[in-house]
Amino acid sequence: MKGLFIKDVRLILTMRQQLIIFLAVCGLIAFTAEGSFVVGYTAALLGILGLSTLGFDEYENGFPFLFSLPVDVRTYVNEKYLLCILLDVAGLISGTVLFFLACLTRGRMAMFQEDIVYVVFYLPATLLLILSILPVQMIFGREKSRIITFVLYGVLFGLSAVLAKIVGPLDKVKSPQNLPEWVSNPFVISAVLCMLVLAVCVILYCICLKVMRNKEF
Amino acid sequence: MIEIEYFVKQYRDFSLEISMSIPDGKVVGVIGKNGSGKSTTIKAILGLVKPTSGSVRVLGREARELSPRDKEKIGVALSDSMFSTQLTVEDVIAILRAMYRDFDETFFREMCGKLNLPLKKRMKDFSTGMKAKVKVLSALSHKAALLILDEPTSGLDVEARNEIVRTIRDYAASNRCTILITSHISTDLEGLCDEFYLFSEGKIVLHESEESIANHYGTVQIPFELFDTIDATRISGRRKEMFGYACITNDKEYFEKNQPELKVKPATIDDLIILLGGTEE
Repeated sequence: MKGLFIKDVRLILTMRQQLIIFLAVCGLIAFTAEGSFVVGYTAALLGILGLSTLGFDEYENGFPFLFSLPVDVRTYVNEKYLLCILLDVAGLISGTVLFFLACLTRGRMAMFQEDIVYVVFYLPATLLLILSILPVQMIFGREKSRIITFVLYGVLFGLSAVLAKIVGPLDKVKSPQNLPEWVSNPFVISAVLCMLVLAVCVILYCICLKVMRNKEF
Repeated sequence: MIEIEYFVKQYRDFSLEISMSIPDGKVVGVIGKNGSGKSTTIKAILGLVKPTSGSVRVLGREARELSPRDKEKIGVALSDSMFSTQLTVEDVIAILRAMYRDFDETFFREMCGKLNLPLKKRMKDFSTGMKAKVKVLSALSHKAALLILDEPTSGLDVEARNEIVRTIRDYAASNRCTILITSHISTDLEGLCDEFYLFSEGKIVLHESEESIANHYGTVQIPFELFDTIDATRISGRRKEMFGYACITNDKEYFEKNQPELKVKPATIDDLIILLGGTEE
């Protein structure tokens, strides 16, 4: 797995110029936008950077050679998952640092204190985004997976919009009475979401591994 | 080292049906026209395709079940696949160092120097010949017990081809390993291989040692008017030409003795590919 990591890190480093532009955009968002949006943005961006290494592997028919190296399918899939998770977490941390620095220099520490709790929601949200695209891209390849992901997320957004219309604005929704206090704790909600995301990702991982094992290169 | 038994791979418009055995320490050449099944065989040996039926065993294991440890003993250069060309040779060295316990970095760097490969230039800016050299060096640099080289000189100019062939020959001479090499360029394999398999339309049409080919196979030029008088069982393949038929025989002594008026020449690998790799009228 070490060799695969070295390969992917070096491939990511070949995109230095894009990386600098991405970081500049993140900085711009942090210092101009309101709220903690930059945290999710940076996490998603770095996670997507991890996904892009799959494209490099696939490009120019790279898979046959890759799997002739001392690498088996399980190690390859594990490495991609680990890389994406690590980059996502690194993005989350660096986004949070950016958000903090922006609040500090703009004299808006109150906003930081108010919004920092919501940072925990970005972890399950961005992980779900990245780790749902990853198996689709592995199984179907870069070109097909773009269409599949586009349709999938289109359907999800459509369903969300319909649901929002039915339920109405969240602040007007009556919460059930006598709920214990911990239910509204953002860390608890985040933990529950993380578990749900984890469950979905484990299922997708198992499907991905099975399909990849049967794939021909 | 490699045992392929009744291997069948069925595609929509192509079927590969072969059995072959490659013992330890042999240098085996797989020859045949483009699309004859050479690369699919290589992929089957590397476990990259699933057999429709039959089995492929490499280093004593089913090819699809080779572990990373097993794969460390195999050096591979594929015709149409390599490391991402966004990487540099320096990156390739770092990756190979991490992947192979026996990676010989000194050899790799020395050979890069000899073959004029820049270490810090991205491989996307390399010529086809330079990319081929990186592929072959990657295969040769970790003391593999089995080398699989799929068309290592395909699409190269004469100079690059000679350099690669020389590198492979030097390696084969100084290391006791099994080599399976495919090519449709005869001169690459002459004097290198102990035995040959000739593929045609997904089947093996010839399996002979280099010695046997040199001693028994020949080409015979037979004019049209004499063709019907020839013992057809002595002809393995033929092609219609201006003067008559260019034929290949596995019994050239017969023609030399019995038909001295016919021009008999020792068969080259090109002759085998052309005249046996699909008989043409």
